[in-house]
Amino acid sequence: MNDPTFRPTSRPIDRRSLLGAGLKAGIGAGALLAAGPEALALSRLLGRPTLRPDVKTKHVVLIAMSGGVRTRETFGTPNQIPNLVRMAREGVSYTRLRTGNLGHFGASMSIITGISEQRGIRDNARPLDPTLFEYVRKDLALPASDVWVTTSGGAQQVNYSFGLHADYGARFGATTLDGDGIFNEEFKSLMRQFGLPEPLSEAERARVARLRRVMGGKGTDKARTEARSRVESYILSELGRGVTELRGAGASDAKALRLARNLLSVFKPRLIGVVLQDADIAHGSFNGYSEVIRRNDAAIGELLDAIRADETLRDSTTVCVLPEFGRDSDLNTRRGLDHGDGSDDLRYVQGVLWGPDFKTNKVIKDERRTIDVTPTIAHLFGVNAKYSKGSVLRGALA
Amino acid sequence: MQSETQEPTSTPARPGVITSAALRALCVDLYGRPPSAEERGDWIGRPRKAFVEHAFGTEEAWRHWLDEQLYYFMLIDRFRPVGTTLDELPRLLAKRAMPLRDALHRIALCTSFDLRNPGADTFVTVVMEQLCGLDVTRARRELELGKRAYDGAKAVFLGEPAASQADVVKVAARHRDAARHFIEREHQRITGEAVDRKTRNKAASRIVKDPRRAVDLVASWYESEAYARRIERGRPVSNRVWVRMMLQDLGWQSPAADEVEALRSALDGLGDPAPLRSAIVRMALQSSDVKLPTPARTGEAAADLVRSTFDRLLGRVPRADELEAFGEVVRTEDGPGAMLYVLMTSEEYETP
Repeated sequence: MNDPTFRPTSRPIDRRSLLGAGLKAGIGAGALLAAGPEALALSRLLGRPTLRPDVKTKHVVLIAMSGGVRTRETFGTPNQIPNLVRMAREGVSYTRLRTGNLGHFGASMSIITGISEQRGIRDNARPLDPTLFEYVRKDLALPASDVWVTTSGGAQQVNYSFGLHADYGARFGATTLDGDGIFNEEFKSLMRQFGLPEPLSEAERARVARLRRVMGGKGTDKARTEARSRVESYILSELGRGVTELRGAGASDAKALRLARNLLSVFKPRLIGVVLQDADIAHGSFNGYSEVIRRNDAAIGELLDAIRADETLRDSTTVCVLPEFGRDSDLNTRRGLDHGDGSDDLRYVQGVLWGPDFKTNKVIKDERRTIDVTPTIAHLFGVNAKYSKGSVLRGALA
Repeated sequence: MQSETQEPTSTPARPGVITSAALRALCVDLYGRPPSAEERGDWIGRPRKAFVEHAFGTEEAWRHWLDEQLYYFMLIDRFRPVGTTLDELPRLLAKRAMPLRDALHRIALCTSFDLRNPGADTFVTVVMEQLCGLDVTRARRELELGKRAYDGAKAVFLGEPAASQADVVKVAARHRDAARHFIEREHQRITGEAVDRKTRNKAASRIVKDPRRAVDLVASWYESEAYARRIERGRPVSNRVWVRMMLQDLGWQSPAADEVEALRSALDGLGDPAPLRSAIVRMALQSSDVKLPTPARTGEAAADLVRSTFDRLLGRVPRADELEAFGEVVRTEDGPGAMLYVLMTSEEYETP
């Protein structure tokens, strides 16, 4: 539901106006083109790397259904997840993806680095290894607007945008938005109270650029200024849309998935990572956990519907969904589910790969690992996830 | 912070004496906010040691310390403790009526900590990792013993008897590894440098023996050479501190805590907070609550305005080319606002 009292709703968000924000920031036409599929021809002319011509996938959505989700409550209870079941029917389902119980933070990180990452549960630090987002951005020379991560778990999950590896790092990081962090009612109220910032005029922009040049440092890099201006425009526009209004059990996850859907429609990026977290409510509430799973399945369904309805995305988008780990076999004393018993329910999860380059209606029961997903996506893009310890899931490829 | 290529812009300070930049760093690190005009008048030119001694006796400094610790334990947003006995910690710490160890112990006992870390496995793992700095994958047996104690069974956890969730916290908080880990992370937080192992172990032994000495140890880090290097280098501030800096530098003397948290939470939601920081500064500058300086009428007035603003916001005098460029701008109608926008969105402002 949109908020009619919020100013940005009067300007519907679309790809053209957001790219326009980049133009106002002073970006050249070439760099703007590089944000979309039109970039391919230009890239070839410039001798830049391009996507694999023999692969249909041009866009990927990777959903880490984190928070700890057992197969029993997903594919073991198929009426709870009709959309994932449909995805599995149209794609490939791996029934035994092995994972370490490394804590939510480390286990989700393992999916995106392709390396089992032992991290503290409340660590608040970047991975030491490159992420899938960095591999893709660096090898394909993609701008920041082509690789995004939306998260649900607040400040900690923002660390997934890039690692600290010297050959990669921030300059190849994903643009990261935490749904609940930004699109919450408190922040929106403040923005309403203060009044949204007016965009800078051309003259003001030139003056600011001159002063920044004199000072040196941040703000003098044209491409970075453009990228930041575009993100700022997107956030201010999105604040007036329905994401802020999502509430109830699993609202943080719902926001992350809704953002992914909106970003996909607006920017048509090459890669979006979505990292969820709300299923962890299971520690204290089995029913709440089940509700989160149902709600996330519905949101994934909406995302798939948006892809199916979009001419550009329909036959060129791959979606991968997998939990970071499962949960204990038995209920705890609070009638909830923890994650620490070392059981198969905890250590094996079921994941789905869906897209134009995968087989259809294929169930693979061989043991594979959650860290195999990153090299598989890298393979589709023709990039080298060289530090990943996983293997390409070749059995899934058509 | 100054780059190596910059020409010298101020007289080098005598060691241990507070300069404008040093006062900004100290206030940001100890209070989580920039210095007031009064503090600038009171403290610039005086010994750093005196400032640190003064700050450690204030509730404000310990409120900021508590905020930093709650953030470390990820007790933020919906897990932020509100209206609990933690509220009295700043007063007790300022009066030196409670050792730091006991303050950490109390944080780990609060309901928010339990809600944030639900279940035996998560709770005991976080206690071992966050309080003691242990790698649970190498201490599986201790984890299992801790989980047994959490569930009410008798167990020997980290070498001490335990039979409840509270016992797990107590044993961990008093453990030698907790003292070592506290020293490691707090030294890193304050000076930006790792403490060497030998020094750490020696200091840990002292504070295990007498927990009240931890405050003096922490105070000594603010007076150290390592901290002098931190002032020289500058350091990126957290989103919470940035919000408080920005609001107070624009004239809000006591920004409401819930407003600070709402802005902090939004900024924390971005991998790169720069775009939103920029929007927030523009939003604040447009607010009728901010009284912008009036445009300078003469070249001399323009130079004065630029110098004083650089000193206040960056803790240094402007270079000649900066003085000229900014001096020209602040003579125009909306020039002072443009100057503030550029300075407050500069990397230098964000790394006091």
